Amino acid sequence: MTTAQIRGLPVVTVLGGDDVAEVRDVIYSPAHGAVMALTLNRRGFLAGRRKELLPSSSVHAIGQHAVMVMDEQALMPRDEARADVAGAGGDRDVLGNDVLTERGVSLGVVRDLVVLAGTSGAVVGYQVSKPGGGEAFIPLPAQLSVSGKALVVPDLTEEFVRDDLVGLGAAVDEFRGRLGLR
Amino acid sequence: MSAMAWLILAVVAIVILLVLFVALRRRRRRGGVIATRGKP
Repeated sequence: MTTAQIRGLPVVTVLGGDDVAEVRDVIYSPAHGAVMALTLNRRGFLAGRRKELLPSSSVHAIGQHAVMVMDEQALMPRDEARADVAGAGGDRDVLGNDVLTERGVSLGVVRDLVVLAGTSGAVVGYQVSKPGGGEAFIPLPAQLSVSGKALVVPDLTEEFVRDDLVGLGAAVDEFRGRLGLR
Repeated sequence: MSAMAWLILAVVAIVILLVLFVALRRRRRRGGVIATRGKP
């Protein structure tokens, strides 16, 4: 699944059935290749942000129509979260970043992140818009650096650009094998 | 301009502002994908 399918979902408690929040941002760690936490909005059109974060470890399940947590205690005040997660700001939004290889070849613009369904937020690749038009997927761990403006990837990544999610699945294993990460 | 023209102008301006407000609100509510700092 992609993060676009997660953002905007309601956060519902398993024990109470209460609709406590709505997913706003996905906080992602390039170092861990995983979604670390979700930032939240209050429910209701004119309601603002919630100060708490929802750490991935407290998520019970991410479904098609809701993010499930056991109870409202799953939400964590921002100042109690890990420093890198609590300090993550909108200036480091990955969406819209240029994907550049070490040689300076643009592979496209990041449109979304592909998250492995049924896991605690493992990210397997990026969905990009190709420079010539159309969508493509590149596998993780691809990035050498992420700045909020550009994503720099090894030259080898060019060989593993795939046009669909099925192709991405196979490319991830092959790519990791080539990088010696298996 | 007549009173009617002013009224139409005001209604159009309010509708445009409302559409912009809703679009901005929707965009801000959706958020994004924020990368944490630290070496990948």
